Parts: sequence; C-alpha cells; structure tokens
Amino acid sequence: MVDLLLFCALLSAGAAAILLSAGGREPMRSHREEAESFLSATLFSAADGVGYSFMGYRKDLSGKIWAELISEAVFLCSEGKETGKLLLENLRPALGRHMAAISGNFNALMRIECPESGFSLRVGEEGEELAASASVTLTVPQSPELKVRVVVELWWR
Amino acid sequence: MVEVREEGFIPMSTAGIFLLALAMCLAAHLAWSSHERRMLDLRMSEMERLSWEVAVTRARIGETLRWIGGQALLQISMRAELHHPDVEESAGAVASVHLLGELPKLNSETVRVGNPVLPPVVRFERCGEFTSVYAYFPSGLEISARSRDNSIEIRETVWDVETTLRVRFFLLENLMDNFARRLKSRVFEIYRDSLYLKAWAEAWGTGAVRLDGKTDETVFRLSWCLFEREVFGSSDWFGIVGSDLPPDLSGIPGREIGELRRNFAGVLERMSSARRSLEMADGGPACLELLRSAAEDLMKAENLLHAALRAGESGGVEAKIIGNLRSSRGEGIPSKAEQLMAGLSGVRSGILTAERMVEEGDAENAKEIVGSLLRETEPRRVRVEIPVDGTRLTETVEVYVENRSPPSLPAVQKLLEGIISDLEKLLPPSPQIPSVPEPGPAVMPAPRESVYRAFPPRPGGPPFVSVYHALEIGSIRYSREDPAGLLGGSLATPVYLPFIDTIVWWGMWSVRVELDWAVEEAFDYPNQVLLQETSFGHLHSSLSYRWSFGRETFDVRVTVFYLEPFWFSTA
Repeated sequence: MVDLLLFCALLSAGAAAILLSAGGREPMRSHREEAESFLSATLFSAADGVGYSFMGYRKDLSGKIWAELISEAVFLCSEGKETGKLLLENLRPALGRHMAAISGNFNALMRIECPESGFSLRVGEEGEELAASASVTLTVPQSPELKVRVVVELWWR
Repeated sequence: MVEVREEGFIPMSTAGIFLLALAMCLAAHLAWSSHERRMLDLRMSEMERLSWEVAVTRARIGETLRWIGGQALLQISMRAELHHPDVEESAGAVASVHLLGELPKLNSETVRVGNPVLPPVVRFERCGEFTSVYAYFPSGLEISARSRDNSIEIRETVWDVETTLRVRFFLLENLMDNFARRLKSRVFEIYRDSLYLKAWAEAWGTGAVRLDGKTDETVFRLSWCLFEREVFGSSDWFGIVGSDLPPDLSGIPGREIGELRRNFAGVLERMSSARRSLEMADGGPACLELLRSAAEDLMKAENLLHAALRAGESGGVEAKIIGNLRSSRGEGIPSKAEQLMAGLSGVRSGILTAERMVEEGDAENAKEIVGSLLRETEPRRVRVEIPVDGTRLTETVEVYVENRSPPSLPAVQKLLEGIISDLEKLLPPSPQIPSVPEPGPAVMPAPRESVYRAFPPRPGGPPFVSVYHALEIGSIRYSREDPAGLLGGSLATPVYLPFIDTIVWWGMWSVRVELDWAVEEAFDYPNQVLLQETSFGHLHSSLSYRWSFGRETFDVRVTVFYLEPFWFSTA
C-alpha cells in the first residue's frame, strides 16, 4: 500500500515538473515593431496640408518630408524666428491628423524634444494602457549642435 | 484455485523513481529549449531593432542629402553664368564635399556611419518635373549598429542614396539657357521693331521724330520685358521703371571667395581623378581606357579652370583675386594662371602621346611617359624685388611650370593646392552651408530682388515661373546717317524722284544702347519649400536661378520715309 502511494506521489511530481517546464502559454508578442514601423511611416513620409502665412504671403510646404519639417521647426524655434512659431502652429494639428490616420487601433502620442534648445512638443493623445514605444534621434542640418529626439508611444484605446 | 502473484518484477516505488527521473529529464529538456527559444526571440528582436535603426539612418542620410542638395543648388544657381554649362555638376561637387562633412554627424550611441574612402559622387537628375539628388559612394558607405552589450552587430554597406527635391531646377536652367542664348538677337529685334513703330508714328503723325534717350531707354526696357514674357511666360514689369534700388548683391561679395575656392577645388578634384587613373595605368589591358579617362578628366579640369578664371570679368573681389593670379611677379616669371593652363595642357598632351603609343602597341614607352607625368618636381625659387611705397621688398616666388620644365601633374596640383590654401585663408573662420551674410535689418525698403527672393511675385501663366531683372544702361547714343543729318541739319533729307516727280523725305539714324550690366533671375514660384536666409529672416522660399550679363551693346538703324518734310528733335 505504501509502495503504491509512493508510486503515485512520484508520478504526480514528474507530471508537475513536465507541465511547469513546458510553460503555460507563449509570451505575448511585443508591439515594439509596430511602434517602429509607425514612427518610420510618420517621419519619412510626405507631409500634407502644412504651411504658414508670413506677412500675408502663404508658404505651402506640402510634399516635404515630416522629419525635414520637424527639424526645420526646431531650428527656427531655437533661433527665435517668427516663422518657427507660425510653422509650429500649423505643424502640430497637421501632424496630429497624419498620426491619427495611420495609427489604426491605437492612440498615438509623439513627443519631440530638443534638450539643447529647450524645444518640446507633444502631438496626439494617450490611451488606457501603453502598448509600445519607439524613438529616433534626428539631426538638424541647419544647426549641427541640435539633436531632436522623437519618441512615439502607442496606447491601447 | 488461482494463485495471485502479489509482487511484480520490480517494486512499485522503484518504478515510480524511474518514472520521476524520466520526467525530470524531460522537464529539464523542455526548460532548456524554452530558454533557448526565449533567447532566440530576444536576439531576433534586438536584430530587428538594429536593422530598423540602420534603415532609419539610411533614411536620415537621404534627408541630409536632400537638404545639402537644395542648398548646393541655391548656392550655385546664384552665379549660374559662371558654371554654365555644368551648373548641376558644380552643384554636385559642392554637395559631395558637404555630404562628406555631414556623415559623421549621423553617428549615435548604437549606430555608426563609416567614413567612405572615396568621396561620394552627387548627381542631380530630372525626376518628372522635379529634381532628384543621387549620391553614389564608389567605395561603399558602411552603416553598423551594435547592441548595447556588444553581443550583436549588424553591418550594411550603402552604395547609393537617392532623394527627390521638389524644385524645378532643370526647368529654370532650360528657360535661362534659352533666355541667355537668344537675348542679344531677340531683344534687338523687338527693340528695332518698337523704334520703327515709334519713329514712323511720330514722323507721319506729328512731323517730328524725337531722339530722346529717356524714352528709348524705356522702350529698351519694355523690349526686355516682352522677351522675358516670350521665354518665361511672365515679365518683371516693374523693371521698366528701372531699378529704384540697387539689386540685391548682398551675400554675393561675401560668397565670392568661397565660390572661387570651390571652383578651383573642382579643378583639383578632376586633376586628382586623372592622377588616380594614371597611377593605375600600368600597361595592363585597361591601360588605354584609363589614359582616356585621365585625358577626359584633364579636359574637364581645363574647362573648369577657364570658367574659374573668367570669374574675374564680373568685377568685385573675384576680379582682384583673378587679376592677381593673372599677373606676373617679375620678368620671365609666368603668372600662376599661365602656369596652371600650361601645366594642364602639357600633361594632357603627354597623356595623348602615351595613348597613341599604347594604340601602336608600344606599352613600355607609354608607361615611361606616364611615369614621367607623375614624377614629383621641385619648384624653381626665384627672388624678386617688389617696389612698395618707395622701398623695395624682396620676395621668393615659386615657379612650378615653365616652358622648359617637363610636364608634371603633381607640380600643377601643388600649385593649385597653394592657390586654394591662400583662398581659404581669406574665408571666414567657420563657413557653413548656406554661406550667407549676417541677416540685415528686416525693414523696408529692401532691394526689390531681396523681396522677390523671399516672396516671388505671382507669375503670368504657365510654366509659372516668376522673374526679376535689373538693367544698368550706361548710355544711349544717336547718330544721324542721312545726308542732311550728317551735315548737322535737323530736317530730314529730301530725295527727288524724277520718274514720279515727287520729293520723298528720308531720315536715317542709328541708336546705340550700351548696357553696363544686367541681371536676370527666375523663381520656381509653385515650390517655395527651401528654407533659406532672406532679408526677412529665415523662411521657406523658392529656388532662384540667377544669370549676370556683362557689358553688351545693341546697335539699331532706323529709316523713315515720308512725303512731307519732318524734323528731328533731341531731348
């Protein structure tokens, strides 16, 4: 009888060990790749509906690449130029619209920061739970000492 | 009665232990494979991240190239006449130098952009109506990304990068080429027709032809505008009233030295390319091809040198520098410009001789000639005395190329490097793209050209190119050519026609318009996307293509006949 009980106990222990080592379920796949592809698609695609009016003269910048516009906006703002402020006023909603159009099931939030010039801009909105994030550093060709860090966060709605 | 066996061949507990051991082994294997799988996932994930970073870096190179390309076009197009017909090639050379300088700035904590052994070749090409910028790295450009723990590293070699600029450079270039090519004949025709119309109308209408410089100057300006309209589809009508303020030459004097340096650097680049080809021409099967390539490079270098030396014709700082290069430092000492021209021409003749020998199968002699062309030679040092303020200063002049000296490519290169180095000393300490002057006060009035550069006027119609021009008319001179006029009379010459028994009054005179200088500029109005420094600060504006014309003379002869007498009046 004791022998039978011992047998059963050992068998159970073995089965438990196998089950534990096999793992209950596959780990959840990260959404980082989605965030990276979202960031690339946002930054390196052609802008639409961006421009500004200066001294009553309209400057239409549609067709420029978003990354280029962002670095130009940072440069102009860091130099304290009026055109920087004007561009930024228009860039923010246009970029927000662009992000909303390509973010799918997520809420997208983009943070653009340039520590050297103190420039900071938030575009988009957060959601309930952070799904993934990705970042990239852009250079500002007009002013090589400036570096712009662009972080994108994808949030579950 | 059946007998029941109570014992198996091993005890149950032993079987249990055996099964437990088996289960533990299986569990251990599963745990290990799970660990391996997770590690693989992590590695894959890290590799994907690094690949993404490399891809982003590549995209950033494209962005940098786009900016550099735009600035190079802006810079070179400002003095298009100096770079014609290789405007895009000159812009490519400028962009290449700057791209090389910008690449290290793309390095980050995890990504490293290598230094290419050979400079990139940047070309501008037509891409639909826009312009594509294409950078080719002959030796490849390595981008490497490394994980933070250095466990994974991926490398990618980039051979070329292409990006599109939303500017219609080639359209502007073509239109301006047309304008410059046909200017003399077409403005002459329009002006002549206008003068005829005016003169006949005056003679037949009022009986008095006015030889008025002011009016005829306006007619000339109007002719210019009409020709502008023919070529560009729009005109700078404000130009008729003359340039109220001087044209915007700000920036140009400041850039002159830099431009001159770049022109000479372009020559040096061609010479270096020729030298590389010569060094590889070791008599092998590719020898002939390499010699031809070297000769072609030197031909281009000569053309570029001619263009660079022509820069002095437009006056200003350039003229002084070029004048200095053209002047001899003493008797029997060739000027630097002469040395450069003679040196280049001598080396090219040597290459052509070597080429002929290779074609005739005499590779050994050809190799010897090539060797002599690559031989380093020491310059001859001559002491000369220069009179300065009544005293005489002694200076040592180095002569690299003389009539009797054998042609040597390194000698010509050294001479040119010296000139470039001298020019660099004249430049501001840290030139950057765009090499623009300090921003002027953003207040009106600004020269009209500056205003147009920031805010190009709306064009008249297709191809939607705005234009600006400024003309400096030195003088307008008249000379009567009919007999009465030659004798100083103000009346036209009467001519009796016996076969119809009528007197016809004949007036003939010539008008000479002397144009001191002129500037024509075309703006790509619909694409105001290039960030640039203007009189109104930094703002986005269009690419402009500017052409300066030197002194020109327009001679028009006008003849008028009328049955009634008519007079000439001068204002």
